Amino acid sequence: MSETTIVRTTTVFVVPIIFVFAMHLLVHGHNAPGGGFVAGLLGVAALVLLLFADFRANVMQMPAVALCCAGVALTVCTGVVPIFFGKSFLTHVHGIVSTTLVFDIGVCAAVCGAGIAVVQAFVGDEEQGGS
Amino acid sequence: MASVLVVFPMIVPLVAALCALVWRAQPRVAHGITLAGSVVHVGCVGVLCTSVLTRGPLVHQFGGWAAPFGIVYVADAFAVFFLSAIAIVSCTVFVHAFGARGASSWEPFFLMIVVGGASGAVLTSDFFHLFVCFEVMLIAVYALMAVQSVHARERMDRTMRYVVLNAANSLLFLLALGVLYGTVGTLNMAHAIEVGAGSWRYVLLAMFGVVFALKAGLGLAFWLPQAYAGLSIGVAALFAGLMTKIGLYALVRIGMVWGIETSWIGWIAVAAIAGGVLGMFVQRTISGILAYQIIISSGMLGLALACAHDALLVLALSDMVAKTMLFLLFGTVARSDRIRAEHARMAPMLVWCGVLVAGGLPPFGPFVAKALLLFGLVERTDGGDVAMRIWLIVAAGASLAVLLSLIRVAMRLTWSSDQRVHMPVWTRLAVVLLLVVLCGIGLGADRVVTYARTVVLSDAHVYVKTVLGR
Repeated sequence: MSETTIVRTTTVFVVPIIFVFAMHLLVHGHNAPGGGFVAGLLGVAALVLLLFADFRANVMQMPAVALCCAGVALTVCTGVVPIFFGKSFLTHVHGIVSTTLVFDIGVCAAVCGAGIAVVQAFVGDEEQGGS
Repeated sequence: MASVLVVFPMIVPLVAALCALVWRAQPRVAHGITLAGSVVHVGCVGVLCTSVLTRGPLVHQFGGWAAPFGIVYVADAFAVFFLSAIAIVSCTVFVHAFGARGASSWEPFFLMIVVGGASGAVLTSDFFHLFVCFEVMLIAVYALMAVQSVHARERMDRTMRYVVLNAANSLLFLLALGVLYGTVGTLNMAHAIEVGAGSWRYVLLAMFGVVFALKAGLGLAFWLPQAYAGLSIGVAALFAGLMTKIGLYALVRIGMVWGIETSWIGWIAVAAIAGGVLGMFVQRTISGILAYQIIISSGMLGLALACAHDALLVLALSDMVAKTMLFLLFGTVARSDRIRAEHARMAPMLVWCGVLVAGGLPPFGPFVAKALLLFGLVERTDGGDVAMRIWLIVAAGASLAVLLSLIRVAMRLTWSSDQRVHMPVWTRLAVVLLLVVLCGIGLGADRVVTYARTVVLSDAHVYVKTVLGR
């Protein structure tokens, strides 16, 4: 994979911006366009950029599947817990922080984890094939 | 809230899949978890089934949002009928998978996701959620195809074709959803019935019809034999039982919403049957013959949809179970690789039972279904309807052809004496379980048929009343 100086330098500036925008989408997603899924995809995009820069080893070592599992578990919990309180599946509570945010964070983690796992698999294959 | 029961057939497989993902490093544990999850799934479906049969349909609103706006799961008699078939079929596939050696550690996870997606697709009353469930199923299927099979190059080739075809199909599905929302202004099935589509009805029927006909392998089945050829036994068995039948289920729901164009579906089904029979006789391998039998059975189901609704339910139920059983049984020979089928020899009793099942002979379930279908067609021919006569001849001829081709396979498998193919204990158990179910359908035909007749497929008013409460 070619890693030019331009890519490496811009990555350092661009990645934080992408992450912040992802957080913005995540938090605003309840009432405006956005949400956990898009935020998760943006997160994966940022991490792919990091892969092209000097942080390949860090990205490759991320516990992607664990992140995905945790995300799905969180999401399923927000759905199932209301059932024990006699409410419908996926009923949300809106207090200071809405439980939809928890749901969205779960979705975000799941998408992010799955995306990274895919990227890791491809890059891992390439490294094996190249050596 | 008794209605919460309705979401469990979708949640349980998801949770089981999650656990299988966490423990994927130990394949035995993962397989054990999915087997247990599948048994729980059967239990949930059983409870739901009895509840629906005794107290009428159940509706569950996600997050408490009422029907036209929120996503709603509806368990009416028709859905429950399909759901029980899904549960039985998937459970036995997991029994087989538990005993399978050398399977990929991802397999139980993706198999469970397929089951969850299928359950959701059957229960939902929302078109977009239907799309999501199909996608969930499809993505797991892509992964299973990529993970499976031995020859990398060949596998990628097959997988790519399947992926491209289904991606195009999904795009058409999405376009159809757009047209639906743009013209009718709703995505809820019951609400769509209530509003009516006016002159857009034919456009919507055509779009959704093509989408689901491709999934059901009805008429548009050119992809099917290729796709099945590279899969492992368990996966192929699950696909044989579920995938095309879910497409057919969606087709029936579409018919419920916008009406069924009987003669169209009938002729397409007849063409599918004829093509399937021709293809089957050309095949030399067992897996090829079985794949074309799926096309034929899709055609039979289409024919039942066109003219004999009571046959449709019994046919769908017994066919899902029968196809899974056949794939598990003959898959062992087809995959115990490169042994020429002529020289293999395996459990004769089971093989001949398999012939009885596939050929639609008593005492098994498919016999009842086939008899209902043929009687239904005979009743229609009384008016001197030429089309019906042609349909009848094709249906009867096709079932004879299927019987003939399987007898040839079984003769090779049981009368030659060279190599014995070993059939794993768990696979044998799964096959026997399915045989028992089929036998139960056959012997308890009285009850099954009575029940099937009470489920009126196209009664849209009842559905609207159930979902919207007005």
